[in-house]
Amino acid sequence: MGRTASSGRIAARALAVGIFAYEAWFFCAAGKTGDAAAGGTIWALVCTALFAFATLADRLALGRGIFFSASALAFIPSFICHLLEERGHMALTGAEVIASQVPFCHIAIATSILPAALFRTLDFPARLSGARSAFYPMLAYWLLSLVTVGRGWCSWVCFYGGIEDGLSSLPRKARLELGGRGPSLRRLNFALLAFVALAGLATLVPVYCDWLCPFKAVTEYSEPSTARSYVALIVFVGLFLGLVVALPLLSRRRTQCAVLCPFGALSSLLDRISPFRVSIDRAACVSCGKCDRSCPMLALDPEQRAEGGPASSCVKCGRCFEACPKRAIGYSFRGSSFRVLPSGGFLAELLSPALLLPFTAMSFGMIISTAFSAETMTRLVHLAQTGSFLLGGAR
Amino acid sequence: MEGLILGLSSGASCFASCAPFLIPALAVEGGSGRLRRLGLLGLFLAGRFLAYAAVGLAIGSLGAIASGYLAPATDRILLRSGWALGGFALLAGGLSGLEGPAICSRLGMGRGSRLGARLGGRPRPGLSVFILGLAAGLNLCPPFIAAAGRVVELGPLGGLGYFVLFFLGTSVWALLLGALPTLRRRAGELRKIARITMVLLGSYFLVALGVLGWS
Repeated sequence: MGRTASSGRIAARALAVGIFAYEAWFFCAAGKTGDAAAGGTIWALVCTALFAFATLADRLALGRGIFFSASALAFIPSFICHLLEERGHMALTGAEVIASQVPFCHIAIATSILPAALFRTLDFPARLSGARSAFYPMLAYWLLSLVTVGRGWCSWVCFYGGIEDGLSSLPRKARLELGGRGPSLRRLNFALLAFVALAGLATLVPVYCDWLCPFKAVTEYSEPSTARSYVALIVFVGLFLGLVVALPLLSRRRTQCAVLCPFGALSSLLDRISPFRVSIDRAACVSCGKCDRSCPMLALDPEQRAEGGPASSCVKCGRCFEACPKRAIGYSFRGSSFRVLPSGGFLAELLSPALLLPFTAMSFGMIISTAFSAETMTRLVHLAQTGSFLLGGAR
Repeated sequence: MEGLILGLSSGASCFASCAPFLIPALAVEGGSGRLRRLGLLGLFLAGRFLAYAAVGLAIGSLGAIASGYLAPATDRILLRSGWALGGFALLAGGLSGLEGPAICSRLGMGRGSRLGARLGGRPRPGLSVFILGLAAGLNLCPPFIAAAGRVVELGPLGGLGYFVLFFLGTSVWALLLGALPTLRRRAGELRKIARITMVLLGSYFLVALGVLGWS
């Protein structure tokens, strides 16, 4: 994608930005009043500005990265404040688990889907329906994402992945080289998916959530009271510090997403449902390897380049597009290699995967993040007015 | 007939209990052909049959004494023993041929290592799958406990017969698992993933559920 863009391309992208701005206002601010309207409007403007930056300024990876990390950063305070307002603490008590008051997290789909299908029983202490964070709505979001952006969820929508994505893009150079370990780490990721799915099936316990989920460190966790719960605490805090903070900073890779996350592995397996993929123009590729080093998911290596696209763990983040000196990498429709319809012009640009995927993925991310990001903006407005980040005051 | 109906009606539980043993084992050993897969499935079922027949005979013979062993406290010990045995079988099966990263070899966990050899020896797929079947048969899933409680008053032959029919009923679900399609194109990759899965499952079952009892 050259910077001397044609007028057809600019017009198509400007139209996409206009539509995005309208839907951002509709989902974030419409119908709200007071601080909520102010917070929603701020988030709608942030999203629209970043989408415009990603498409009109041709800085897809940077625009997406800022949006994705901002949404993750907004999620954490929103979630913790909710817990403090409703419960007074972050730790889950046994009574709250029994009452199934835990918000269902999309990562748990990987462990819960088999027991739910076989026993019509949820092994996660959450509600089935009746709330946005219940099992069925989360399942619907995931299925919708599969048929649209596929594993792009992991770089545009996931409100945990943004932490690692941001941290892994901070250092200029990797101090720890993980290049070449892609195949073995992918294998471990799929094995972990099989492990949590089969162990969960045999025991009806969400093994990943109980033992391995590092994001309990920034959301909620079982109240430590027994040796088992203290061991679990040490494990998840260790995994958070190691895989989510330290290793991404050292290696410039999203190590938790690439190795541990079972939801990511499941989405990789089903990514073929999505119409979008990342493809490499083999004729233009000069095998410099810059894309390999830029890929946060270790999805690119010489073998994958020879095959004309990254491995199934690709999250469609676009970092490799900007790393490639020959602009030989880009989005394409599955089953075809073209990135823009051969006819060219306004309509071809509007329907090109290079615009359709960012538009769909960022719309998806914006709609999912509205619940917490717009609320965090509202809290910031509230903080400026009252000096308190909590809307209802802590219990 | 009650045993057969109990076995047939507890399909989902049986599927859930056998799947962690059978799916990785077939993925590791069964990529080469339909006949070989069927042979391995037969060995798995033979292991389960032996376990079920032994349990039926033992509980039927012991009668009232066995009902004491099926009390909740003892039951927990039996349950943990079942997990430990199953975990050990999975761990041994996975480690005996694991081609792990260099660190595994350094820790003595790679293919041909002393630990791998001690736990699993040279890869013997038939024996591994038979032992996994035995372990799956001794895994105290809810239908198994229901059947065990029922045969206390049936005597040795009654107990044996009940568990043989229970085995037949539950095997329908194991046969369905065995009929799952294989990925020939990526069989080598799948085998490696399955071995790592066996090690992870084995470690969890053996240590967390078996030794520590953290179910």
